[in-house]
Amino acid sequence: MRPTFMGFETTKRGMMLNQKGLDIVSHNISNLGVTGYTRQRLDQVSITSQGTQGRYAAKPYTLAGQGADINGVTQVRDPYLDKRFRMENADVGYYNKMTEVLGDMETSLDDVDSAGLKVAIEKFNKAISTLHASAPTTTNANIVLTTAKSLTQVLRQYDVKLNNISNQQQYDLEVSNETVNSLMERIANLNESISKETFAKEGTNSAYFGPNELFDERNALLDELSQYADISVTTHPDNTIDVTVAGHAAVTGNRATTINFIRNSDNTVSLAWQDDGTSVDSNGGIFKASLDVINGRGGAGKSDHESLERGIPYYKDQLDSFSRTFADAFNNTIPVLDPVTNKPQTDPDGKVIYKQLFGFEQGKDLGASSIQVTKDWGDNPNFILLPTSADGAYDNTYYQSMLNVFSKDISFDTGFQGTMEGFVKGYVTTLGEDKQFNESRLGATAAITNSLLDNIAQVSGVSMDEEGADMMAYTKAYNAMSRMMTTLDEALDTLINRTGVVGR
Amino acid sequence: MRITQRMMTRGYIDRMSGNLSRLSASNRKLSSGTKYTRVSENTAEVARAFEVREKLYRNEQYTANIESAQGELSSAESNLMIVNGIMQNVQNRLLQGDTGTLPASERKLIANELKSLQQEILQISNAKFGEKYTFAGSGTGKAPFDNAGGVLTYHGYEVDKLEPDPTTGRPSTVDRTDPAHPVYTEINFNKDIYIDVGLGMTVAGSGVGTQVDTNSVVKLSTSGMEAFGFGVDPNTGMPNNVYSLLSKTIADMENGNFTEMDRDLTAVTGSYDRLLVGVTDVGTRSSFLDDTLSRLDGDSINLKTTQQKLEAVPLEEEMIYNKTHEMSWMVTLQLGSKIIPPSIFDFLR
Repeated sequence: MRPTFMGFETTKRGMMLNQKGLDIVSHNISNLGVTGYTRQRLDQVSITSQGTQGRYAAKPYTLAGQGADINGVTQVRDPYLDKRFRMENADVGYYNKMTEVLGDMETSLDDVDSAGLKVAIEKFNKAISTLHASAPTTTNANIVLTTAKSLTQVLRQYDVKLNNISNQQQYDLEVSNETVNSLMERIANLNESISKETFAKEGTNSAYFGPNELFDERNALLDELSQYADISVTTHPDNTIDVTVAGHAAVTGNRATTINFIRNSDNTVSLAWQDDGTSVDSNGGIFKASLDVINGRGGAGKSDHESLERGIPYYKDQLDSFSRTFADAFNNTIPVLDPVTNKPQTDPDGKVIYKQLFGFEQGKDLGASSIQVTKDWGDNPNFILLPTSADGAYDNTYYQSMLNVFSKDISFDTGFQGTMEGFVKGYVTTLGEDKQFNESRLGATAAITNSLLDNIAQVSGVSMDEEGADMMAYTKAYNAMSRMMTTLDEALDTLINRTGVVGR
Repeated sequence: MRITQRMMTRGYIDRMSGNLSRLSASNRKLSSGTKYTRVSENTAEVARAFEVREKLYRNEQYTANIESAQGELSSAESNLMIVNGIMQNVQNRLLQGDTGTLPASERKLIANELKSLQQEILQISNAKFGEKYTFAGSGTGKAPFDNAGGVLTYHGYEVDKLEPDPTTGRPSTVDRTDPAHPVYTEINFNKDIYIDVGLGMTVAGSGVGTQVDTNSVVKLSTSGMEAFGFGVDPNTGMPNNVYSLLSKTIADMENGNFTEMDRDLTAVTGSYDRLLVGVTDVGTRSSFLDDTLSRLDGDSINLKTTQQKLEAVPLEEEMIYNKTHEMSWMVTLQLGSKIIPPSIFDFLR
């Protein structure tokens, strides 16, 4: 038998449900412009009536018509898209960082738009050529000295610039590391809050509902984290997540580990996990890019810390090799003449002693950072002039020998075989190619993440039309439920006030 | 497919920044006139452009080398021509004086005239071009010829005592202590000086062992010995050097030694040839430099054209691209006002 007042409860629930529906519509529209907001949806279910299983058996339809109820409010989100996005985002982070750093290096070592090493070599070459072709005057010799000095300065400047970029990157990596530590910490904290707010709807087996806004916040943190390293996320039924960063368990429940930034004695840096001391070995992301540029020594990597990518150390090594080879080549052109016989002096082994034109600062590594014009030459531009030949006559053979350094193939200790200018050309174009490669990869991966973001926006974004339609539906339903209430009221009114008044 | 607000805004912003960066890249090209400012913008083309720049600056340097060498050579040439003229004068005077009818006082006058011509030759032999003595071989720092004590010396070597090395032909001192095996030593300060004019200078060895392939360079120096002669003619016993020859001629003129004067006349006439060979040698080098210079000019023009193609922005083309980019930028901006399209809410009452 149907309870007399059953309809009122059903109608009340219906009104509340539709009002809640309107609340969610309003919430969605309000959050239209909020970054990372995921569209929410009212999960409604129709109430099942049970007849036979109650204490007093009844026919199944006796209690039918209970209306609808709210299960919870859920997010419309596709975890697969999140996963894809985060994978790609690590690549974007990597290529973006590489492009940025290589771009910095390219600007510092530019030879296309401004005067760099190539132009310095060119000027030095011209000065020697003029000395070779015209009289050995102090003026011409002085120009050779000046251009030689500026060439060494360019090399030292390049070295300083590369060091600056490396220092900047080390600092950046330190900051990135702190950011990642804080991201992991915040995710762990959110896990804690979320697990407390999560509840399972009575009567449903697997549907857990939780604080949607905290999910959004946590997802935004995960998205941010994904650009630093490759991450993977496992979700538990209580809505907490475990995060692995670069294959290492970083967040488990409400606990997060941290990463330590370490400066090694061999001028490299590394990142290590606080909990077990293993190094952070990321396949992508800003972490890998930073480590690659700071530690990348190309194929010549010597220690475990060094990477095989062409980073700043690689380009510094090349400059050092150039400086050494350059100095060595010119230090074997102009012989020291015996003041008495005017013949080239030889050492006890019978080898000719040459004037040392280029040297390296004492106590420093032989390379671009320490190359300089020797004191003998620097103090006296005529050092390369007189006496220039065995008989004291003007003899430009030795200048020919200097000029020849520019045109002959030289073996550099990096394995490069070719002219000096060829070396520099190779140097800048290798850098250019590295940048070009990373830039084009960045374009490709960014296009993928972009389309994934579009897909995410397609699934999780708020559509005004949709919300408008929902709003109308909820409003109409609400109005109808109100009318229903009136109808029920009228029906009871009839029953109570008008029934049984015959003959009154 | 759901179309959401966020998708539209994202797409709009993306395309907007894309359009703007294309426009700004095009603006940069137009304002700078160059296709690229960084190697990575077009590595292959920049590598080629570097090659061209290298060739261009080498060409510039060769051109500068040639221009300075030309001055030196043409000065040598005109000086030799003057000496040649002087020798003609000497010949005329000799013809005048070589007759028994001329009184001794007249001969004396001619001899004096010859002396001043001889002095002139000495001055010309020590002529300077810029910082360098033109006929000093490789000892360009000091005057090569000197007649202190009436003996002509070249860088301190007595000119008439020099002999050509039988193998190289170069002026040498001779040591005849072993008459069967005379030892020839090439004199100092008389090396050849070569300059690089872009013939692909080939140098073997380095430092002290440097050997330049003389075919790959142009000789710049002019040796006073080659130009004016040295030693004595082995057949006639006459001095080869014009100055020494004149010394002898003057003495013969003063002494009225007509037999010798006849021989002097032949020798003076013969000296023309050597001088003319010198002039021709210098002239040949000089005209070779002219040819090289015009070849270099041609090369430079070609290289500059290539450089233009490689590095310069084709203005007309870029201008059209620029207009297109600008157009799409304007359209993008206009679209911006429509980025929030009317929705159902605009039609609800």
